[in-house]
Amino acid sequence: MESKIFTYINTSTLSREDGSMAGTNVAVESGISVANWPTDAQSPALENYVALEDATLILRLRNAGAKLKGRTLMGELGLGLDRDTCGDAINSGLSDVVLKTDTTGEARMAAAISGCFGFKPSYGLISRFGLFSLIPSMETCGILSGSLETISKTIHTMAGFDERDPSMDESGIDQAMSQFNFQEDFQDGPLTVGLVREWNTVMGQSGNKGFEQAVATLGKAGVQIKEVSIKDFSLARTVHNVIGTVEASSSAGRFDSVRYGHRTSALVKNWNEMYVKSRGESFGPLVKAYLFQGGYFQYQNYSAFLDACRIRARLIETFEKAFETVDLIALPVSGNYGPTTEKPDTVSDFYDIFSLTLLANLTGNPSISIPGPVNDGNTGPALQLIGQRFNDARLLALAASVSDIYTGEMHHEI
Amino acid sequence: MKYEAVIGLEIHIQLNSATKMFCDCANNPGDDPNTNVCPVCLWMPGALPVLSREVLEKATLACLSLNCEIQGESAFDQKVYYYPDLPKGFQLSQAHKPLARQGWVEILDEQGNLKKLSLHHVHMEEDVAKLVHEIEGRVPISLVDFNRAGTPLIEVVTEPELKSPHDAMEFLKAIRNQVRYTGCAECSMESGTMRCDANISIRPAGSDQLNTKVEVKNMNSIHHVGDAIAYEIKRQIDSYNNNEPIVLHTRLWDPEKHVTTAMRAKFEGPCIPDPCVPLIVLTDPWLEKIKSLLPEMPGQKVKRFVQEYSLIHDEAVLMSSERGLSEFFESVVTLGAPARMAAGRIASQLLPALKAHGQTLADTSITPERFAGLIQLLEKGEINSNSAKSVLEKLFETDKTPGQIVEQFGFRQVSDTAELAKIVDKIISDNVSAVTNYKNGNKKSMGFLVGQAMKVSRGKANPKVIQEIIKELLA
Ligand SMILES: [Zn+2]
Repeated sequence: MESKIFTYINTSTLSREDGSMAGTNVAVESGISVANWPTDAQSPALENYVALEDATLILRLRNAGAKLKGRTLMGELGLGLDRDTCGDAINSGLSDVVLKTDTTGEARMAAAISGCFGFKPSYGLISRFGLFSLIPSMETCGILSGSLETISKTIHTMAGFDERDPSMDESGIDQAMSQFNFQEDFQDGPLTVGLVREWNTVMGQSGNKGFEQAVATLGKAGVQIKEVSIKDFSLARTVHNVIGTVEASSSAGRFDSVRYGHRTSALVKNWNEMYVKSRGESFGPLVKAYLFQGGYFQYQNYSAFLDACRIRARLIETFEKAFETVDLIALPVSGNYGPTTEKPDTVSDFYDIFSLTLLANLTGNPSISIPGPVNDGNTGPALQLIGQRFNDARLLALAASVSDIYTGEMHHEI
Repeated sequence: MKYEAVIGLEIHIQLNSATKMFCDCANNPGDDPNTNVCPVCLWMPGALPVLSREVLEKATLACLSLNCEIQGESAFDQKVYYYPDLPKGFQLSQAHKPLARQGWVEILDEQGNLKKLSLHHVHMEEDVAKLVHEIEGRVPISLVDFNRAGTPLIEVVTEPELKSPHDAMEFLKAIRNQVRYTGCAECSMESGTMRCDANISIRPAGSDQLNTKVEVKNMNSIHHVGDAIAYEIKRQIDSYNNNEPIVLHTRLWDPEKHVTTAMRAKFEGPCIPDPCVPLIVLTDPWLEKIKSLLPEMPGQKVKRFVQEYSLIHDEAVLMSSERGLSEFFESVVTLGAPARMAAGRIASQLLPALKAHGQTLADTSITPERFAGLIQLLEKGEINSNSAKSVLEKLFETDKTPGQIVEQFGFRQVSDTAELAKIVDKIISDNVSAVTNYKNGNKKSMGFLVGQAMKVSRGKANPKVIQEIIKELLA
């Protein structure tokens, strides 16, 4: 069983006994660098690639005593959940935590499927140094775990300024870290959860009874439900598609088959042919389609990319505004009536699955999927909560309250 | 029909920062191949570029020296193209938001009139790796040296308002002089720390249309740039006259054959904002700090040298042409040497001597103190012009002072009239025909006689005194 879940199992048992993460088993997907481990992001383009050094976040976990367990399977280059095993690593009890890059919602979706918590931290809180994803501006290290406390501890350990990552946000980090350090009372008044007025315009969600029930449960428990308007909500998917594919097309440029990765054995006339053949043999259909689209926007339709960037900036602004009146924003996890591991064939299929998780990747907000609340046999058993950027500790604390409502462990009103 | 050329230049200048642009590797591309490399500049997966503060400062200083407007916000883009010298598929450059816009330099046109040439912008850019092709063996191979990958460049882009090879060459010299002054770059086309691509098109004289341009690369000196542009203008005019269309492409200058040859279609790849390097926001206090680091530039210096030291304009231009030279000159003058004599001697003797010895002002043992000492001996008449040359030569060989050298090697000028009169007597009796010629009004014979006397004195005689004695004796 272990060998089905892990592509690589760490045989070194050496770890510190005294750190905050001592005794915690951490599995890491292969798109996150761990020194001397195979780090191929599940792509032949990185075949036999061994990381030269630890990602900063791995180094911090190591120093805090975490036991690095091994590699789980992942979708090629972090795109989608094809053959993903990170949920199995949690359910089997073989790992307490799995680290999984989340650029479109992969970590949260995988958690929703397997029935654990899945957290995507604020962009700029955890160093990206050593992460291999295709979409740098949306790349965060997501976390799966059965315990919110463990997620909180793990984030706290990994977060913080790293001079090797230029995209870190120093003042945001200060804010986020002080929340983690002081664990102040995160909520004095009643909790207000925002519902995006436009949410059901995506994928005709109006029939999503499960989500409506989940919201109703919250209302009964004393949570205030408030509608917020996110004007460009229905464009988010397209914006992610355009920006994501363009960034991916550039990011994948380095997979040239020269210094590492699969190289074609076909006879080639020149280096251009070698690139084309090698890349053609390496990438799977979804990655190819994704890169092709990016190339199209780069070469043929740059103005669409500029538009997407503008709308993205506007989305970030509207989000900020929305959080002036609500503590959290709730959405279903899956846009496609229930999370799925089905292999998407096209970019459009891929976005069908992630249409509701990708919002937090676009805006950089922290987001969590909570297992359990929504289960009517039609939708996936999970609820997504989005928090204010750099309020990660607060989101995790509030997620605990919300989760308690569903599990009935909560005996007093929030 | 009469045609005129429209020339735009793109000049890459390698900054001399200690490290590369986005990592801590040494900025020494000439070291043994692949010794100055790390995951960042090898562009390995997972590595992230962190812009060096020193590079940003030096780039800004260079832009200020070109009278540019530094932009409060600038950003890096990915210039996408695939080539083995760029194995990540894009180059970090600033296509949309350059560090500096506008700017200008002054040149003298062919008629000697001052002409202002405008820059469109200056941006920062990382250099790519270097390909080394080994074609000797049975299977030709190409090797990649990453020492140069990620080293810092600025690219100066002109408005297309240069008209002639002369303009282009003068422009390059002006850019080089200005940027070198800041101490941020060497700017040598010969050693590759300055590279120039020229975009050339032609049009009927007096028209303002912009026709299809041709890009010319591979010029390794300012002269090559002039030659290549001249060739390309002629080639394009011939094409027009033969009704051959001009197509957008890139040509290589062949310095041996003195021709340009077609290389490839000019490729303009897309440029998209880089998601990793953050927006560069420059604050006013920071910019003020960098401005305060800008040295006095040659233009101002020329004016001051004319005013303060009574140099004539050309002398002042020469003494200001390099920052090191101008500082050397000023030290020599401050140490007591008369300014014009110092300028003249530096230009006519010191600089050629340094060249002959393969030295520069920065590394020579001829300090301002030693050189000023030499000039002062000359000024006081203790040595003559001839001996001054010999003393300079000895200054290269020993570490003695000019005074010590004069004593040790007996360079002291002989001005004693009695001693010199003896020599003159001998010269007059030995050169009867010259004496006769002189008496018949041939002034040139005087020079000959003085020369003979100098020879006999083995160069030590004071030529002025000799001349007076001869005049007196032959009057
Ligand atoms: Zn480096």
